[in-house]
Amino acid sequence: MRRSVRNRWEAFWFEASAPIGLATCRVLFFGAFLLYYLRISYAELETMPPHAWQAIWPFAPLGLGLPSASTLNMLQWVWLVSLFAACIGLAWRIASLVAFALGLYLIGLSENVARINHSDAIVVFGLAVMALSRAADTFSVDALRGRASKHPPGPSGEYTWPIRAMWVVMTTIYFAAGITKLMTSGAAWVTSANLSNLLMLGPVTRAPLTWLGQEIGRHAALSSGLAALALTIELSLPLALVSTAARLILVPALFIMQACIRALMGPGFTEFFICGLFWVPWGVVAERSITAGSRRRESRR
Amino acid sequence: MNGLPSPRRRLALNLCVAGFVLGSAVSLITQRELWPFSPYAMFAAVQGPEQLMLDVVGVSAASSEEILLAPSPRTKIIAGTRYREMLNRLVEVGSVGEIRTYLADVAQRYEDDRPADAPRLRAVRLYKSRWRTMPDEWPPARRVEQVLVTEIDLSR
Repeated sequence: MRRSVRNRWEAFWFEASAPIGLATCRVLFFGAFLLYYLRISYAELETMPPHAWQAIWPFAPLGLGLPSASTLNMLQWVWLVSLFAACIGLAWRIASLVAFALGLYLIGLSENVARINHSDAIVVFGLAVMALSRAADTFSVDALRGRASKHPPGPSGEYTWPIRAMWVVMTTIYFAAGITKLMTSGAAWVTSANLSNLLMLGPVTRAPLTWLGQEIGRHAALSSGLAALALTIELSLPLALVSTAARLILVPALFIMQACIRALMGPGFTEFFICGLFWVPWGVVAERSITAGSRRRESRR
Repeated sequence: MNGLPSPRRRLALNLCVAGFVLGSAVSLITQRELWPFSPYAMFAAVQGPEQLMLDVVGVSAASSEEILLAPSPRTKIIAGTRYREMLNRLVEVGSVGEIRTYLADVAQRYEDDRPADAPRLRAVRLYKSRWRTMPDEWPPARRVEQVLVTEIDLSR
C-alpha cells in the first residue's frame, strides 16, 4: 500500500515525457508574460498618493521601500530582457533565474500598494518552477548552440514535473479561494443575493465586457445557481490532479467560468488564463503535428 | 521508471512542493496574506445591495461635462480594486491638503497624456457615491446619493 502510494506519487511527478511539451510551455509562458508586462510601467508606483504604501511580508521585515522611478524603469527593462531571453531559450540558466528574482521583487513591490492583487502570485510561482526546470533543453537558442544540456533530450521526468507543479499551483489557488468563501460567508455565499448583487453592481465597480451580468443578476435563483456551480468547480478542482476524466471536465469548466467572470463581472484574471496553458498536452499536440506533416510530405512524393 | 531525475534532485523538488503546500495551508488556515501565499479571499465576503464608490472626475473646460479619470486596468498597475482601495485610504487617513495634491497630480497626468481631441479640464472633483441594486429596474444598479468630497480649480 505504502509502496503503491509512493509509486503513484513518483509517477505523477516524474513520469517520462518528451521535452517538446515543456519547451512549448516555456515559449508561451514567457512570451505571453513579456507582452503582458510590456503594457505597464512599474515607475508608475511612484505616482501613488500618501498612505497607499502598506508594507507586506517580506518587504516590511527587510525594510525594503519603494525605489526611484528611474531605478524601477531600469529593473523592469532588465526583467523584460530576461523574459525574452527565457522565451527563446538564450542563456537559459541565467535568464530564468533573473526573470524569477526580478519578478519576485517587482511583482512583490506592487503588492505593497493599497492591497494584494490575487492574480499576480501565480506568475511568481510559475517563474520559480521554470527557473528550477530544464525547459530549454530543446526548441531553444541554447539547444541550437549545443549548450542546453549534457544529456541528449530524450523523454524524462525532468520535462514532466514542472507542468505538474503548475497544475498543483493552480489547483491550490482555486481550492483555497473556494474554502475561503465558505470560511468567510458560509452557505450564504450561495443562498443569499450575494452573486446577484455582484452581477448587478458589476458595471459600477468594474468593467464587464457585456451587460448580460446585470440581466442575470436580476434573477436571484439563477444567480444562486451560478454561485453554487462556481463554488463546486473551485472545490472539486483537486480531483483534476488524480483523475483524467475529472481533468477533462473540470479544467474546461474552470476556464469557461473565468471567461464568464470577465464577461459578466469584469475582472480579467489574465495571469490565470496564461498559466492555463500548462493544462494543454503540448507534447501530444506537437507529436501529432509532426506526424501529420510527415504524412503530407510522403503523400506529395 | 525511465528518465528519472537523481534521488537528490527528486528530494529537493519534493521539498519545494512541500514548502508550497505548507505555505498555502498556513495562509488558508490562518486566513492571512503571507505573500506570495494567500487565502485568495477575492469575492469571499457576501456583497450586500449597496456599494460605496469614490470617483475622481475631471470637469471639461469647454462644456462642463464630467469625465471619469479612473486609470485603465489594461495599462496601469494601480487600477481596478487596488485603485479603489487606494482612494478609500487616502480619504480615510489623508489630510485635505494630501487629497488636493493627489487630485492635482491626476489632472497633470491627464494633461500630459491628453490626445489633441480630448477636452482640457478646468477642475477636478472627488465624489463619494452610494449605489444600490434595484432588480426591478433597468439598469438594475442606481446611484442613490452623491457627495462632493473636494474639488480643485485648475484655472487659477
